[in-house]
Amino acid sequence: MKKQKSTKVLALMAVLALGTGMVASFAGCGEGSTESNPTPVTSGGANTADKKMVYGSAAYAGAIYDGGVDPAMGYAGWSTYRYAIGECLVTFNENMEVEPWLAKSFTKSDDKTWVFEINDGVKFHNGNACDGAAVKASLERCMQKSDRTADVNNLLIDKIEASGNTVTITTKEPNPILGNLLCDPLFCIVDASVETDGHTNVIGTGAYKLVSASDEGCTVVANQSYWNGTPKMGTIEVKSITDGDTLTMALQNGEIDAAQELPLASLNLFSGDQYSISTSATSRSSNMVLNTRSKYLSDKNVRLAIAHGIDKQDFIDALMYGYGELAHGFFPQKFSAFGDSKLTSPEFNVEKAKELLKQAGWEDTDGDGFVDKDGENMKLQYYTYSSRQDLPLLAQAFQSDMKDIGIDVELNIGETGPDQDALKKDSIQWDINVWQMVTAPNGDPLYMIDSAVGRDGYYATGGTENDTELQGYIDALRKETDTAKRAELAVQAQQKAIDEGYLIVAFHKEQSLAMKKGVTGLSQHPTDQHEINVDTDFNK
Amino acid sequence: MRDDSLAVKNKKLKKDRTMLKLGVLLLLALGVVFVAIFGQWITPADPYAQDLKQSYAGPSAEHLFGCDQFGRDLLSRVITGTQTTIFSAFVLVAGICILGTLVGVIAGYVGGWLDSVLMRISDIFLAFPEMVFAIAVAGVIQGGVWAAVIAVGLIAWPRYARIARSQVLAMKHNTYMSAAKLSGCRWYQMVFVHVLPNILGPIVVTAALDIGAMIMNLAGLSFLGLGAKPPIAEWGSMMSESRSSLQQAPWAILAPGLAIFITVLIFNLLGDTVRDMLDPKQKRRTIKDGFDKMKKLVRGEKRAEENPA
Repeated sequence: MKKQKSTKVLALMAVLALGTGMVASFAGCGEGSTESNPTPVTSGGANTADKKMVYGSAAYAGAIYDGGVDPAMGYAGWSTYRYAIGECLVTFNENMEVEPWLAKSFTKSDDKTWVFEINDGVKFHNGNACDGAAVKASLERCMQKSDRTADVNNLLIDKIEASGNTVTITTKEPNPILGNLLCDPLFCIVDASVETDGHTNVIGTGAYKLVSASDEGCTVVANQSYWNGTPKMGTIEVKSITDGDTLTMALQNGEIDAAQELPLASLNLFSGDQYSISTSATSRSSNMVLNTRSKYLSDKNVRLAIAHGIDKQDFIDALMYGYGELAHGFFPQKFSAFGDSKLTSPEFNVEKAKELLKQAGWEDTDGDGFVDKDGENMKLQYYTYSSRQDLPLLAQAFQSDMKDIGIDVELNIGETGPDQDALKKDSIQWDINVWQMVTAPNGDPLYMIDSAVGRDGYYATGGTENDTELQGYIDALRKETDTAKRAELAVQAQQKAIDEGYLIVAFHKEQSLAMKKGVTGLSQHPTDQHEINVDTDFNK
Repeated sequence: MRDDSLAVKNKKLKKDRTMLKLGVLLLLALGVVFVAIFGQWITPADPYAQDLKQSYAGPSAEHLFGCDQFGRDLLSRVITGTQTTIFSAFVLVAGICILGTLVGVIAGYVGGWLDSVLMRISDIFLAFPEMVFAIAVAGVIQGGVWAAVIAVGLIAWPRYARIARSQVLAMKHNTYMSAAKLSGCRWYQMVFVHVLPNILGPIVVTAALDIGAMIMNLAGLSFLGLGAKPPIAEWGSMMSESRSSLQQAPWAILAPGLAIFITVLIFNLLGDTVRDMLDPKQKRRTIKDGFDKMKKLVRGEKRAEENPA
């Protein structure tokens, strides 16, 4: 009996010891311990050099491009631009109009000649002057080094000349949107005389100097010799946090002070007094192109029935949590010259949709809930991809909306989009092709309209090349140099595509920045490019 | 005498408890299977009907488990998900069980170079980390429920092959096997009449224990986006769709999560009980057994010290 009792005591002590050991080891684990993640010193002091801010981003370009922020490397320039390391000659304002930046002015002396006057006193971070010669060298470096050949070629540059603070660019043929194209972060002006590895010595003209960059983020410090004001922060640390849930929790627990591209589902967590959210409609749009060559969608009434059957507002309110703008055409209302304020599109009306289907000969004759004709149910093949989080949501909502008007939809959601060439040749049977992109990266309408419904567009157009009126508008847009006339042609082309039912644009996405209450000077820009700037400040 | 009758009584009591446990677990498992088979007729609402105005609505009288992002009734989707999850897990376990057993029996019975080749092939598959391999294969096949089943199946069959082979090797040279051979039985009669029925015990036990694990693997692949595609109701993909809303709408992830937990628990406990009943050689060891063994070892060493001769 005594032996049995001592055995039991030994067993109990062993279990307790094991349990204590496990609890102690768990307590030491994880990233949340205060020893491994001290609260950043962010309180404002008399000396701004001491002020530090930590900025989390789910879209840090350096994470893709080998950790570097050399603007000539792919799309790494977005990081150079966003974190105020580099600047372009010109930039877009809130209304997507081109305005001077490093250049204090720009003019066109003729159709092929653009003259840029650089601001006085602009210096690179290493003290070298940013004059005409330096700008010329930077642009030539970029055109030579960048693998974004199409974007470089679109400039149509014949030669660049520099004299003092004046840069003269001559194009091979008239290029009415040269100014728009030069707003791309690809063309950030850097000191071309410095051989850069992209990680430590990207020498720009911005309010902040690069200290280091890796695929986990970058650190920038104030440029006290900045030509356009005095930076308010000493150090800004940018952290790449690609997982949306992790980014959300990092802002909640104070690991970061501001966050870019939080999941939409998380934004409502920051609606309290401790945080503020800045949002802006962007030209990132979800676009549906209907295949007029398919046996179901060759009838215009069917296409328009589909357009009337989609409840876009419900989708934005429920699935985008209100962070979207109902769309008519490719461009949001902020694009005042050719955006949605100039367009109309079929409004949500289930009865109208059913009526149009009936007119096209489609009715539910067998009572199975789906419309049929000649004994065959209508079943649409819908193609999209999952790498943009909204697209699978839109797909499921669309499928449900179509079921309400009696149309069956089969979803084909790949990780990346379908082969557009295969869709163009109809070697894949498709009815609706859905994709999302920034429709006006350069603030000009031609690129998107041509890509989506143009004769030689990148995306499968589903037969719009046969519409001579529509193609006439696009052809004229390619050649027109007057900005107002270009806007008018863009409106006509979009409205034609909408009226014929070739195109349904679901929404324009609102991008957001969320930040602690003490953060100021940080707001969401429609281009999604401007973030950190000279006015960015954080006071606890 | 008194000690003997007490031991017999204890043994009987233990057997009765095990039978009771088996009965209860079988009933629960059958309940899950019943839901899987008849789920589409017992859901309170259409599991695919969307109502965006009810997006992430909380549990209520109308929606007992609440609603998901699309306003779909979660209880109905969990019930419908039972069908997808259970059937795909059963098909998977049946498939790897049959394939692995056949390979193992052939390898063990025939022996020689065929045994070496088959076992080296199974070793190659066993060397891969299970989920990593399954993720890679499912990714190549572009996802979907059956892609996930194939991906997990490809990596899971060797376990059965090894068990079957070891059982066959153990009984191959038994007297009755020789007698059957001498009586003129052909190889397929040997395999299907004499070998298979005698090795089924451990195979069935392994299969029963594997059901829970396969449910977890399939749910895991769906969670990663490599299994069932939306809008198909499947527990893993339901958890994945709602994980960003864990703080705002925890019911959307808890409902399918609890379904996985309860189902896996039932089948794991059932597997344990079946093992205890069918294969007494695989006696479950307890902590007490471990200490008893240690004590025996210590006593054995002491006796050796005291009696060095």
